[in-house]
Amino acid sequence: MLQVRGLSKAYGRLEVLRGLDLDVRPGEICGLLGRNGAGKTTLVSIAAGLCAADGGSVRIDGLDAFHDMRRIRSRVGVAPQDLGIYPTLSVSANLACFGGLNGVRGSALRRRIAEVAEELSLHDLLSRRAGTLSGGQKRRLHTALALLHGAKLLFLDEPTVGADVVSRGELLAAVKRLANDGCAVVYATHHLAEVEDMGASVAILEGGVIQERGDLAVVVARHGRSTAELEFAGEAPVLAGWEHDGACIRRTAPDPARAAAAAIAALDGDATRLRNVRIVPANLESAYLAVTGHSPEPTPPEMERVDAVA
Amino acid sequence: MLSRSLTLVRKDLLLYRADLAPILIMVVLPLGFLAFMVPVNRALLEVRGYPGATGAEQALPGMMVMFALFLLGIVGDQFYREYGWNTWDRVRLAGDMPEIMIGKTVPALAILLAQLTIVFGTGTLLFGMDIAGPPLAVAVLLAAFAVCLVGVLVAEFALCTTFSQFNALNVVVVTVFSGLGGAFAPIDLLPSWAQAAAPFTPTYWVIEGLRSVILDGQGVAYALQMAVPVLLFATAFVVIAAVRLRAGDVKVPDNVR
Repeated sequence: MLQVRGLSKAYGRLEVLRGLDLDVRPGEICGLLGRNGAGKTTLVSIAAGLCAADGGSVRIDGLDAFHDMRRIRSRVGVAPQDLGIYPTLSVSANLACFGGLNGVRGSALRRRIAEVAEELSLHDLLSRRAGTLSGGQKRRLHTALALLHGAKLLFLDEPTVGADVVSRGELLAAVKRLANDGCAVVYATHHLAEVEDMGASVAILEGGVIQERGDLAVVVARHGRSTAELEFAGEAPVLAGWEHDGACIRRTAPDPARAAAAAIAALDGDATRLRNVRIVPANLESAYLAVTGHSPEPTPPEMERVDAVA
Repeated sequence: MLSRSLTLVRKDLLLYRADLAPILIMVVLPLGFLAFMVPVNRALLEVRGYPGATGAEQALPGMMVMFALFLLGIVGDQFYREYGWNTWDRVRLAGDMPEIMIGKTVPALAILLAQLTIVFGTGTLLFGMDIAGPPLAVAVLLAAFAVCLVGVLVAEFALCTTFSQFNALNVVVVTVFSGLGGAFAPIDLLPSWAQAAAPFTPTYWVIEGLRSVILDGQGVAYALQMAVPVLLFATAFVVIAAVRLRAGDVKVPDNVR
């Protein structure tokens, strides 16, 4: 459904994308991961036709995205990172506007508004002014605007920023249902747990290229590391080979239980202060860390926007 | 293409309706100003050989034109708000720039034309002004001026990155076009340099045209003749916008409301 080849983009002297390749199949949710400024938003903007690339190609549903954008528009839905709704209009007017813009009209539009509102729990809010909604409700409306025309390819750029737990759960469930119906979803996020919850495939963007790409289980098996963590009352003792962090020490190891046992045996008098032992199995976060060398920090929403504008 | 533009027209009209007060103020204010200006202009017109004139014949076209230019500041805000609300890019995802600009400018044209019509109509009734020429001649000039205002609007939008810049430029446009166009005083009472510069403003042609229709009974043919330079100005403004404006331009609203 989405085929990106050799995509490059620079803002002045800052190279954001350097020959990026990415394929997303119908029905696949692709968790697009990367730190702030890695180029996630730039990739989405180029693929959606909002921003010109310096080089490379993007094909969507077999069509050249740089030359066939008119035909592609109806097949693509985009919920950008920044909340984009009309706050002085009602929820239903917002939905009607963006449905109409994407070619959905008349009874089909009314039906789609009802369906999407139901799916994202907006049905009781249709007559409310969008500006009066809570943060989570606004985020759901923002995402709903991208779903009205039944796109085959969906770009969701950090769709759960500012959403509460309930809204987040509803959004993730909706994304999974869309994928089950055959929609390809590019899901840019810093929340790795969401990618794990949805069983999405993983694309880790670093240094302007996709550094790691594959199914979640494969990426975790390839790069993930299990960790043993020992927590003490008061300052943790210093042990060789263990990372010291206040009251905790932790160590990444192929067999963390054995490492924890060995550490406990070496504690001597400090053993009486031991409060907790935790074994953290290999997960996406540890795989991400291994690939990129840094943690997936949460996004201040303005930062990537500034990057994209720069 | 047309259907997307129509969707945008409907949406913008809803947005104007949701925030109608500033527009209404720009309809009421010129009528309030007229109350002060009509007596002075009555005396002026009597001296100039229009003994039965109310004074509105001179003052109304000027005030109407000036406040229509002021209204551009409010209508322009509707363009910049799209950036503050992050909806501009979402609209761009669905349509091409010409569709979007049609969708944005047609409601602006409707608002401006409505303001001109209401101010002129209400002013005529309130001050008992007689129009010597045919009403159609007045309509021709108002329509041409509304089109020209939309041209000014898109040119200002194309030239200004921030709404503050837009507002400042619009104040300059209001001052220059109103002053040189004869909104405050008849052209022949202006300094000679201003008289020489006046024809280079669209407002000169509109105000002179309206006064001639109202006071001297000029007809539709004359109004069409005066509308031609106004529409040429409109074309020039649209060309400026077409050259300068790009879909990916980043515009900055004052704040997000």
